[in-house]
Amino acid sequence: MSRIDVMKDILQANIDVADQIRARFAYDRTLALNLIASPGAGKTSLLERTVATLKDEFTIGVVEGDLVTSLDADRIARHGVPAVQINTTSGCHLEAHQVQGALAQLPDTPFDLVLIENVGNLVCPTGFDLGEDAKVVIVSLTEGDDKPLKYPGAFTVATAAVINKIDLAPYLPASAAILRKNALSTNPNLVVFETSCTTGAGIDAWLDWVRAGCAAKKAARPDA
Amino acid sequence: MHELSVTQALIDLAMQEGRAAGARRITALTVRVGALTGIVPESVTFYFEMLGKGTLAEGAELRYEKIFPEARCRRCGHTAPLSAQPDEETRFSYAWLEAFAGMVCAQCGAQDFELIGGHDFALVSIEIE
Repeated sequence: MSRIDVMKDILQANIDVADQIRARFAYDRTLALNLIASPGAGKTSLLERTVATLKDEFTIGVVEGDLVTSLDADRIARHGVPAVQINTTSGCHLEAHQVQGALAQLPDTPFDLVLIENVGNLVCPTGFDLGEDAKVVIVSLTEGDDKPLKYPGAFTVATAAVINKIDLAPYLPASAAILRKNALSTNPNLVVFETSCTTGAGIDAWLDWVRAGCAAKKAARPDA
Repeated sequence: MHELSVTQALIDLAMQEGRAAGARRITALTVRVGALTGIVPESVTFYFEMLGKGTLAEGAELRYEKIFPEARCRRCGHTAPLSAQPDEETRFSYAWLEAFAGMVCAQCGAQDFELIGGHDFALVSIEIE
């Protein structure tokens, strides 16, 4: 019997593809965001709000992940922004090879911004690198303000957190301030936004953050 | 939740390494799992028994090295192991995060920590015959 040292990442196949995607985005100076949230938190609504305003400032491509249907890609396409739908059938998260396949179906032009909407799930998507610049976790007030404590994984890997549906605050026991505090307790580096995709409240601050990210990526050297 | 697919990736990697070493049988695997991956070792073991059947690794023993994140002070850079030290299983279920939220830096007194590491999921070694 002998022992063989391996010391290799088990998900290396995914990381290799994510690195290829990252290299392409670096070359094109594309800001890529991976949006993670429970089903119904408002991922697609936030994307709609985002593309409706930013499509006049940036070239944008959208990748949508869902088990079945192209409902989300259809919603984005109505804004005149190219969107490709990935159907995972039963898969609980997106993997890099799926995103690479979807990107190949988008128009062959360099994008300023690529938005990837992960499968609705606050657990599984956190562990899979898609070559993005940042993960954004979206959590709605209707889910309760304790979610960052109960599902810390998504918050620890995210760069930004969007607290959505704040227009419903008067009708809910949950508090945006407590949700914010709980999110920051799992990851003090989080940039936190409070939005309502229904009324448009707080969307401007989120859009400014995306604009700043696009500008930073434009200014970055591809090999940096 | 997706342990089925990550266990298949683990078996694929072990097969590749075992074949390269001319193994007739893989008897044990040591796997490093970070607490922030969300991967449940017990679940990996369950699927391993199922997916490993008929492969070089059928019946192999799975050993886990559990990796916990460290807390790093954002003011002075001091790093500390997480101060909560309940049993390993409890820590793996995120209970240590409560302690993390209230940690005070032993070096500068600040209450401003971030988590470092804990994202590992790696095959450390295999034992072959």
